[in-house]
Amino acid sequence: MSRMNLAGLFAMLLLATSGAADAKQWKYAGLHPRTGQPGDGLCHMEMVHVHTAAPLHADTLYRTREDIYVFIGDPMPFGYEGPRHAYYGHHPVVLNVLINISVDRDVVEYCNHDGPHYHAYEPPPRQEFVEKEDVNYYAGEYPQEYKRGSPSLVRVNTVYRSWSAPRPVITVGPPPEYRGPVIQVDLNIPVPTVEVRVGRPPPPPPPEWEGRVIREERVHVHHDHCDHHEHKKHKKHKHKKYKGRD
Amino acid sequence: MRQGALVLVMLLGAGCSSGVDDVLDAWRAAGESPSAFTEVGEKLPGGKCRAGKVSGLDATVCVFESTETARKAEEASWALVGNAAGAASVSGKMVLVIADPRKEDPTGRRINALVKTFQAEAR
Repeated sequence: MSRMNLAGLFAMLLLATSGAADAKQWKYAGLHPRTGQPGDGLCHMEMVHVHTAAPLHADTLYRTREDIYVFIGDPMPFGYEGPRHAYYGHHPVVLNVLINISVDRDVVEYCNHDGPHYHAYEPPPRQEFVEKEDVNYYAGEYPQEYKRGSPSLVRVNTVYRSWSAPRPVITVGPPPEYRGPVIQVDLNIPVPTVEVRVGRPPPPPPPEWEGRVIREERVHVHHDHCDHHEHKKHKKHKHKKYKGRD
Repeated sequence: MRQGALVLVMLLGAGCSSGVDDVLDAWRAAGESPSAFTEVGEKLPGGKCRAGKVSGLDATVCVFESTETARKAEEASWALVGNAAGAASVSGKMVLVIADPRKEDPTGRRINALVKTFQAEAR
C-alpha cells in the first residue's frame, strides 16, 4: 500500500473515531417528537433520557431545565394517541410536575399556542384554570416573565401552521376569567362557483352538490380592543379550578 | 444454634445481593425475557454491576452501598449509554442504565416500560 493510501486510511480512521467520541448527548425528559418531523412520531420515554439528535424547534417547542429539554407543545401532529386534554390559548406549564421531579419551588413556563389545542398533560396544580365545555382556559394573571418571553415564543404558532392536526372544536367564546389572546373560529361554508367564458360552448353542469357542510377553522387573532359580547351568553360554564390542588 | 445463625447470615447475604435478580424477576413478570446478566465489575464508581440484554436492549444494573452513592453515580451513567438513545434511572441503592445501540426501540416505549418496572421494584 502506498504512503498516500496509508495516510488516507489513517485520516479516515481518525475521523471515524473522533466522530464517535464527539457525538453529543442531548438530554430530554418526557414525551417529545422524535426528530421534529410529524411523520417520525414521538419518543415515549417519560424519565430523563438521552438522544444524539438535538431537538428541532428547540426554542419554541421546548423549555429547558438544567440542560434537559422538556417538550411542552401539542403532540397531535406527531400521531399522539394517548389521553389528551383540550386547552384554549396561552397558559402556564409547571415543568417539575410534567417531568415528575421534586423541587422547592414550581418551575413555571408558558405555552404560547394560540386558540384551541391539545396537550398530553392535564392542567397543572397550583394554577388557576376554568373548564368550559371540556376545554381548559387559564384564569390567572400573566406575569412579567410571560410578557417578556411571549414575542419570541409565539413563533410556535408559525411552526404548527404547516402541520395538520386535529384541534378541539370550540363553539362558544372563552369564559370571562380568561385574559389571554383570543382566536375566533368562524364557520366557512364553501360556495360552488360557475365560470362563464364568452365565445365558447357553455360549461358542463357543475358536479352534483353533495349537501355536505364542510367546517373549516379560520383563525383570526383578536387584539385587546376587540369586543367579545359572547362572554355573557355562556351556556355550559363549569368552574373547575386547579388552584391549590397538589 | 451455630447452624441457624449461618443460615440466617446466608439468607441476609442473599437478600443483599439479589437486588439485580429481583429486577430481572420483575421484568420476567412483566412479560420480558432478559438474558443472563453477568458481572461486569465497577462500571459505575462504587457500584457492583451486572449487564445483559432485555427486550433487545443493552442493560446494566448496579447496586451501591447507599442511596447517596447511587445518586452520585447518576451522572457517570450517561457514558454507559454511549452514542445511542437510552435512559438512566436511580432508584434506592440501584442504578439502571439502558441503551439502544441497535435502534430496536425507536418510539422508546420498551425502555419506558423497563425503567418503570425497575423503579417500582427498586424503590
